[in-house]
Amino acid sequence: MPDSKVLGQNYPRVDAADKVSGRSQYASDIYLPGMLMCKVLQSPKPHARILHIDTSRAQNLPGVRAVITGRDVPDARFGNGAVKDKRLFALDKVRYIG
Amino acid sequence: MPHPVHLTINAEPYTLLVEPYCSLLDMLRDELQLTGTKKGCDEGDCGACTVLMNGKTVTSCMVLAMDARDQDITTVEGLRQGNTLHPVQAAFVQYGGVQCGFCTPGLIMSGVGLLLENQQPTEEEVRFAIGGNLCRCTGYSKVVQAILKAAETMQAQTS
Repeated sequence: MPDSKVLGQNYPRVDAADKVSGRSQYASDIYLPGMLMCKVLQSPKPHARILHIDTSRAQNLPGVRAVITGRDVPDARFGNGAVKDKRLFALDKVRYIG
Repeated sequence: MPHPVHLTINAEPYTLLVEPYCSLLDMLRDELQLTGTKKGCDEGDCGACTVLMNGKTVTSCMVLAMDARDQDITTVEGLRQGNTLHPVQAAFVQYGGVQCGFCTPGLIMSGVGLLLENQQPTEEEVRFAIGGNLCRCTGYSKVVQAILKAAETMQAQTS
């Protein structure tokens, strides 16, 4: 087999030096000025109608910039593959815990 | 209510204000942006948050920042000297001990901590020393090999 610069050679990973130095940025390592942090409320019920979501206590907490529910983005859908119409946030009904 | 904490991190003195419930991990990552140390489980099980406190490995998510007062902390960022990697870091690169890399800082700190106490570990001793570090990618064998090779390199350097 002819000599190759690539085949059969030992190459260190191109990003290994950064990873072993702690320099690689993973998603939770990114800090941007003015960055907001969000917290997701997941449904505690496996199958239930959403009658009303009272966001007043959350909105009144100091530092809270926004509280978003399904009502705010009723038409937002996402998905790929077989299912293309998943809702961003549950609207009217929850179908599983989480 | 925030309290002052004075400590040494990677040979630099720091004085910070932290809440009493703040973990050393959160202080390193959020207050100092030393994000090399990772938060995996935040409950002392995965080892991704491993740092050295006075030369001993600790899971920093389980150490209160205030309990690190006056202590000497080494994180993964403190190992590299300019462009020169620590022998354990270099061995991880050379021997393929890194894949996604998320557990890597913790594994490296465990390796460094072991070699501070035991310069000629057996394979079994290496495996025991990294027993608190979970890795989903590598299957550990190249990590163990890297730490053993690093031990050889460091022995050769001192003799």
